[in-house]
Amino acid sequence: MRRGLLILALGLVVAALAYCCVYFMGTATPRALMQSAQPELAWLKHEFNLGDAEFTRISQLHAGYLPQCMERCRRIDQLNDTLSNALATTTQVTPEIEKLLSERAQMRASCQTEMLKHFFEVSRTMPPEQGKRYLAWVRENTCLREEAMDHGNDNHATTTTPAHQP
Amino acid sequence: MKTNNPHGDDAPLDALLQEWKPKPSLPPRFQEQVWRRIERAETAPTPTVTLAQLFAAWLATKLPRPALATAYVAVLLVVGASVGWSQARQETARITTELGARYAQAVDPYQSTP
Repeated sequence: MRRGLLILALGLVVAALAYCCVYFMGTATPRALMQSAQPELAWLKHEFNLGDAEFTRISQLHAGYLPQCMERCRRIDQLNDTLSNALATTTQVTPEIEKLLSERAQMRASCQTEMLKHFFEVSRTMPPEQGKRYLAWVRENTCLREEAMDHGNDNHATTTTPAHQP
Repeated sequence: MKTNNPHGDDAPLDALLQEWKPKPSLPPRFQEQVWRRIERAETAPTPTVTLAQLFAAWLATKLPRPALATAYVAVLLVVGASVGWSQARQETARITTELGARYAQAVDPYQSTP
């Protein structure tokens, strides 16, 4: 009986050890990515098989792009606030609202153009095949892929409930 | 006929012994008691064996056999490794997707936060 129990326990210990070994070996790469200084860039390096020189260049491009991107976002936020205030005080489309809408649309277009320029620059830094893969990936996973137009026929529109009257 | 009598030939005694048939006397109501015991044995509940008892018996007698013990440990090794591999794949896919989304969010402010 004691020998049987020992064998039973040995089997369970072996199963647990096998699980841990395989699990930790299998997740070693993603865990290393998560622990790096910039996980998303480490992911880019791993995903697109970048060499150290390419990765350094892309990190520089990334670091140069982000502050400009944030500045454009700040200006779009400002325009959104101004437009929101203007809409709250009128019941028709005034020339000011028209100007603000146009300005915001221009700012968004400029933002997307700069983003696209950045994507192309990054892709050119990569080996050609990986560059193609990268562009295909950003086309699918960024705002470059516009959502299909929807007039509510699918009943998927997400809106907030109108505020109650005081 | 030669007899095994070590004390010599005693033919009358041999004949007598060969004819002798003992008639054992049975205790009173012997037959009735026999039938009663048979009846009791037939109606008595059969002892049930629990799963735990079966498992304990298997553990004590079957598992220690070298072939079965080796097979048992090998199967658990394979099961443990398979589950570990499957979970590692899921975790890798989850982290990869998450990091991809983080990169997209960093470079594309139009990404909606999930």
